Amino acid sequence: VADAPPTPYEAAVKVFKALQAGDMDEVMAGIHADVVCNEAEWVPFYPGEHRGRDAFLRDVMTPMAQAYELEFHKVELLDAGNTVIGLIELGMTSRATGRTVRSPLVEVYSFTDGLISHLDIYYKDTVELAAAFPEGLPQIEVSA
Amino acid sequence: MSENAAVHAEFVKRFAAQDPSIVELLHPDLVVHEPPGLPYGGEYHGPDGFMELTGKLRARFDVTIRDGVIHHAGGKIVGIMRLTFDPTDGNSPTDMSIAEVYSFREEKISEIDVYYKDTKLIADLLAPRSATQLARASVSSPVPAVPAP
Repeated sequence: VADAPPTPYEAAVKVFKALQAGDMDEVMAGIHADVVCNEAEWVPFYPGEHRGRDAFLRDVMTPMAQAYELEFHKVELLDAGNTVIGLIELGMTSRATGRTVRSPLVEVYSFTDGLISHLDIYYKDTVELAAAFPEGLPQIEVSA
Repeated sequence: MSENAAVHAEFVKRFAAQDPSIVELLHPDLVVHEPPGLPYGGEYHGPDGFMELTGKLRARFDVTIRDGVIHHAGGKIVGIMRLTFDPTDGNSPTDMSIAEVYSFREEKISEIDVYYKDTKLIADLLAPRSATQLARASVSSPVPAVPAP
């Protein structure tokens, strides 16, 4: 008998464990090919909307990891059926300036076929983030 | 509908109606967390603190709920709502999503943690405008005034 597919909550837990372990391949294995990521316009990193797994990796995950050292101080995942809500407290230290901000955020994950297909992200205070990290993200050279 | 969901639904209804009996739904130890970068940012305590906050909000905005989704999870309620913020000073309105995380104690709301999609846009919307900007805003134009960055 085949194992039952993971629930959205179980899938989210798996992605977060991989994220905290720095296993980007495992993180991306939990992301749907047609993922949409909605960010604020005024965050200094990956502002706006990103569509597709490749763009999510190239424009969000890779530059974020290169520009900032991340520390998850709190991860509380709430199981709301086909939606999982992350109540997170994230420490971000700029590798360029050494400046650190510890920010609460809410992330809302929706799922398609057991994979995260939509991320809706709310930082506590984009005023604080824009002031702390005016340098934003470095330009990343992406090989073809 | 769970007791918490019923309390939350009643809270939304009374808030929209500006019904002062909304305080009956609030725990005496209520804490509301607003983003610190906003002019009304910070923590508000108890029903009195909540009424102080709503007074500050309504002095600055007319707020209309466009649509929303309510999630029930882990004893909390998370509301994702798209709102229109219409500044009372005549500045152009803006639409924005917010996430509100509600916690409950003794069948009352004990914590409201508020996240705007982009607090900087709201802070800019509320920033004092220069005389030039005010003069421009007073001239009828099909192009809405854009808040200063």
